[in-house]
Amino acid sequence: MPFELQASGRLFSAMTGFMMLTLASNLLRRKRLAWCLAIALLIVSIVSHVVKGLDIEEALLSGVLLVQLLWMRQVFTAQSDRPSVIQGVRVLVGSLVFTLAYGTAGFFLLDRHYSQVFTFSGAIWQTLALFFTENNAGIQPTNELGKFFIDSVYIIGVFTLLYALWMLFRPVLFRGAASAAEREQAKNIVVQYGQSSLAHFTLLPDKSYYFSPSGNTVIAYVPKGRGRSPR
Amino acid sequence: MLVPTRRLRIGLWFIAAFTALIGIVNVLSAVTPTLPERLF
Repeated sequence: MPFELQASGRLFSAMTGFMMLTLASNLLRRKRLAWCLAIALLIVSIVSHVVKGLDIEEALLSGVLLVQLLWMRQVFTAQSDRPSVIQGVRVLVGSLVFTLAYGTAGFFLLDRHYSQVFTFSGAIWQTLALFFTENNAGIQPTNELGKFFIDSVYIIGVFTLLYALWMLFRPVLFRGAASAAEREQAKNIVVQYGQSSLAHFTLLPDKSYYFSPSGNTVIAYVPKGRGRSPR
Repeated sequence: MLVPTRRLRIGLWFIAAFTALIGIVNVLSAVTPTLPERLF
């Protein structure tokens, strides 16, 4: 099998690993989008495991989860959370830890592809050296896989960091709690039916809206904290 | 609305734990020898 195909399979495997770890807590909270993403990732992941090196055990594990997710599909009904800074910070910390863990595991387990042997702490330092020293602490790969792994640490670092930055800036990009059309509809209802002196508070910019099927009734609300499924 | 039974909660925890496990397995799979490398 061509080396490029195996290498891209390894890279994809690491990326799906990161995505699956971020999806786990959202699946516990019954998020619909997390379910859709997990299904898509698992299908591609099964193919990738087989292509990159006949990794049947990993493909089987993914298959079991795929069946379980499809079996419980009606459970995943929750909407996505509104973007928040704390969510972004959490993903940022997770992405840094993940890149360090990926680099450490790789140097520790693949050290026969380099001119030196790594202890566990040595593998941690080598990963940090990739980002903070000019000559990568003098590491010498002895073959193609060794060279590829160093590049892959940078690719994984950039991929996870970009994802974290996206999560971090989402609250700025999607600032409005409700769309202009929803605001207009809520305003019309309040003008027509509002009889309390508190009614105009429902039109403040932090409000989201839930409309009845007829569109004649509105509930204004502000989400606080993280939504959880009932226990 | 779907009432969360004990069985449902166990199912959700199984899915979440299994998803995290597969995440870790995928990462390890990216940095360990493949089956042909192990055999030859």
